[in-house]
Amino acid sequence: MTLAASISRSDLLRLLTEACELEHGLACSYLYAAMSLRQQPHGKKLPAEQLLQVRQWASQVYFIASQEMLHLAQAWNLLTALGGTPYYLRPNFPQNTKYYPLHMRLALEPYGERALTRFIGYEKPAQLLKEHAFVDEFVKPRAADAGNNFRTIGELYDLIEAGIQNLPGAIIGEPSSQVGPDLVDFPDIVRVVDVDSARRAVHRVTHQGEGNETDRADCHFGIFLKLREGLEEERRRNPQFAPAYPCITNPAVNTSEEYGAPHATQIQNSYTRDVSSLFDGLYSLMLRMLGYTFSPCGSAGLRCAFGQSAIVMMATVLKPLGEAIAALPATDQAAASTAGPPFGLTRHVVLPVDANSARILVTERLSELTSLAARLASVPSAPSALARVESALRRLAGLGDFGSGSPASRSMGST
Amino acid sequence: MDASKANVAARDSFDVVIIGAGVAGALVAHVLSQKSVKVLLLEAGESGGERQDLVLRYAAATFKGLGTAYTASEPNKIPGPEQPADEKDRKVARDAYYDQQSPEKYLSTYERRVGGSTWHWLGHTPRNLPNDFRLHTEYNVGVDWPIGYGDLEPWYCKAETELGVAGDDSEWQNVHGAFRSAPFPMTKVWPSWSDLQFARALKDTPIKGQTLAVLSTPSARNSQEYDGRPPCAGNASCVPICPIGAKYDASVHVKKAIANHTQLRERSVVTNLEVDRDGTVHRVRYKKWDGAAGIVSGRIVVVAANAIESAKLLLLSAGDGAHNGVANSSDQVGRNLMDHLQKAVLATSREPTFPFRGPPSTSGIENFRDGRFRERRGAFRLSVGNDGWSRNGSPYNDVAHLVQTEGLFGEDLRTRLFHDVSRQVRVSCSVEVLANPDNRVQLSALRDSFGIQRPEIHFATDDYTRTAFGPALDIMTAILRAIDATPLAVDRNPLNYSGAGHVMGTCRMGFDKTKAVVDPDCRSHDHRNLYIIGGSTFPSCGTANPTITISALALRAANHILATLPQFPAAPEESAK
Repeated sequence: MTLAASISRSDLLRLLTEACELEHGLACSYLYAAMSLRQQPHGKKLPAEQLLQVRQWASQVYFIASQEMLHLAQAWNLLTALGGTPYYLRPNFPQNTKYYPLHMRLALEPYGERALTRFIGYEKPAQLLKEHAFVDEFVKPRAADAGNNFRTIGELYDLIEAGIQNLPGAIIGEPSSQVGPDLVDFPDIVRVVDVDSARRAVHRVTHQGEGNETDRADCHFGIFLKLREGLEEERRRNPQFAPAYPCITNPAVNTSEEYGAPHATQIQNSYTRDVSSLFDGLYSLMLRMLGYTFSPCGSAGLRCAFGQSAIVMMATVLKPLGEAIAALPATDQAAASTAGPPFGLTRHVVLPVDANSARILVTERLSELTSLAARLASVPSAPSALARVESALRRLAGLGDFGSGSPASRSMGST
Repeated sequence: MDASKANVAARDSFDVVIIGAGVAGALVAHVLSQKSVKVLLLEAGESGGERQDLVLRYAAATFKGLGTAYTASEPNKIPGPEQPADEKDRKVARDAYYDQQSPEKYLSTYERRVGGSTWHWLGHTPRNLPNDFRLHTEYNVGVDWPIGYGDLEPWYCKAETELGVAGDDSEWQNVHGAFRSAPFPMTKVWPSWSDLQFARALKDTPIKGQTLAVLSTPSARNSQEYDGRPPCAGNASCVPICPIGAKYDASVHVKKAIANHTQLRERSVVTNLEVDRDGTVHRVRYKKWDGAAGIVSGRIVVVAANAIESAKLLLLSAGDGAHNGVANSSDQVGRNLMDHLQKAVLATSREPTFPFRGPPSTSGIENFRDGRFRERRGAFRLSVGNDGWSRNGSPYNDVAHLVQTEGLFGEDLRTRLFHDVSRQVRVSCSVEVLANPDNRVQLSALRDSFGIQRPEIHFATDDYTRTAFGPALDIMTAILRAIDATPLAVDRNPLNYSGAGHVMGTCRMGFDKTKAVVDPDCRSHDHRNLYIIGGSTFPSCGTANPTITISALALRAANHILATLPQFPAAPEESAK
């Protein structure tokens, strides 16, 4: 393990980008599992009691995913406080077990025992309480590895915290560039303006993830354990219980070289592929807008407009769209697997600091994607969610003032 | 102990007998059982049904009222004012229980079941303000409490931890002078979209010359996993039931107490408290739903059965040594019944505000809760709704209207429903009521389904409350206009209000035993081993939703009970059995 005293600013920035990738990847994994859950009755396939149970599971996983998004945002604040810039890239799914020192695959797979076991592994504390010793039976303990800096996410943040404390004059970012709840709807986000607030930010992340030595129940680790137990209990009562759609693992719109994930599963059905492409486009745009919000140089008004619009986009566009894709066929064969939101990232530019250019880029892209949503919603067999997504996108364009006055925004009115 | 009275079997003898398994009783049972005190919880209602079954019962019901999810397992039993005697009309349910002959009616009801009304409360936990405790001193109206905000503050903190309150420390530090010595155990529940629209509009638009702050309302609703319960998932059905247990209800502490060997006897309606020659109260008689009689004894007895039921029980227990009712030498038992009286202004916003996504209300406006105006009229708290026009039956009534009146079906119906409901907004006020001895609970000649006398209630508003409605309605209307919403017709008749479900008064707390029922520790002035705990002890009601104050008082009283319990040894004839 690297000695904290020898961690340079550059090391810290690299560790934080690794934290960003991990938090981002975990959020996507959890969202995929939540979106795969059946939250409608489907005739008599899912009786009311089971439906209530499944909805509760979905809400808990969504909640954890939202906290992972907060962690990503928190890592961005730490990055800018240390003199860096927000980092939202990550490799596409799946990633092999050696990619991170966690020694666990990051993958998109539907809600089930296998996914939950993986999630428990991600959030597992380095030191288990006695009552959780059984976890080692299905998530093998990771051996200390001299070649790596950390074995768990908690250890990664410990390293970051120690590095910040030991680096003289660590906080060099402008306090005014820090993002608080006024700019983006994350009420719990900590503005990092000094070493003390940096430590609070780190503690919030680790506490939510793995809890502390007296409470490992009310954290991500504890919740996933309970969810796994709940699923096992339902399966004991009814072995046929299928709470999730038969989603493929690691779906991708394409698996070309550019995608960088050769083991992804290409979506075969052309309509589903188009809808998934829409999802990826919106997801990417949302990240770029958030990236601008957390960037220390952007225009204040636009940072706020982008930040709030990005959060609204997550809830009113990406969530219903992702859930719809989880029910769409992955192939053209009858009674085959369904797809799922790919969370695919392809090459794209970071939004420029210049507010006018950034505004035009976002408005034009939003207009293109709204047009695509409208086309896909007009297909007779389109899921009803598509119409809602189109409507939400049109509202989104009028929500912030980022579209006002630009040529692109005027053209949006007719799309 | 009085040898002339019936002996009680050892299995029915307890250190503490608590009557009522609502939030006050549950918290006291929890605290005492942690200290290995032998506790019995007696509850008139049932614990019946898993949460999921209650949710499904509510979902399947054609009439959806507060008590729909909690209908008694025996249809001929009506343990309280919310059990529908007739599914078609909720008023029938209330009037099947209350006996009210006065022109104005007491409108609030409560749930008699294990966990009490916290099953269907909204979960809001604002504290009383410092001036709420010294209303008479500051404004020369009402009465002062015998304790101040500073006395209760540490207990508020403990109560917030027990219930699991989510709130924003920075917003709530020193609101109207109410300091906080400890942070909320959880950060606030995220504000709804409509809250943000209200906050944004009011930031730049003074109302009646004042800049109003939209504050997140502290709530016993998880904003994160807490105490083994999940975070709120925005099901928007807190009233009448949270489907996932993210909102606190007192069944949480009932279960904890039972895990620590508290005994729970449900379906056990207490009918009488016996007073011994020495003025103590040990024996408690009750009636099971099947008609069987029961008697238990406690070294200490706690009445925590809500303001109406506690008063009724004390009056029912009149007899030797308590001719005017137990704990009633002051003649104050049953008097000073209070509630917060509500009016709502509904409006249609120009842009969608998307109600029903999240809890029914997550924010409020606290500006009007205190000020010199309280010398002449009541204070009020404003609640920003996130529940559309649900107080008018939305969205069910909207569906019925669109289908029956406008003939819409299918996609047209969905589109129109979304358009209309997504623009529904509400602001409502909860107005302070002064204690009035003529607003009271007495014993009716009519009997309930258990053969027990029903509560006879007399209630009327006074000018202090009525004159507060006008300014409240003006301000609510202005607020709605500020967010570009068009209010529906505003009902200015001060007699048309609704109850808040905040049943308070009837066993007021005070130093003077000729004017109060209990002392500052919630102990009866007349009977030194009898405690009365709950909203019944409030001398005045302020504007805060009462549950967190009830909880703080309960924890404080439980501490006092632990200290005084050694003064009341078990009777030899009983402990020997």
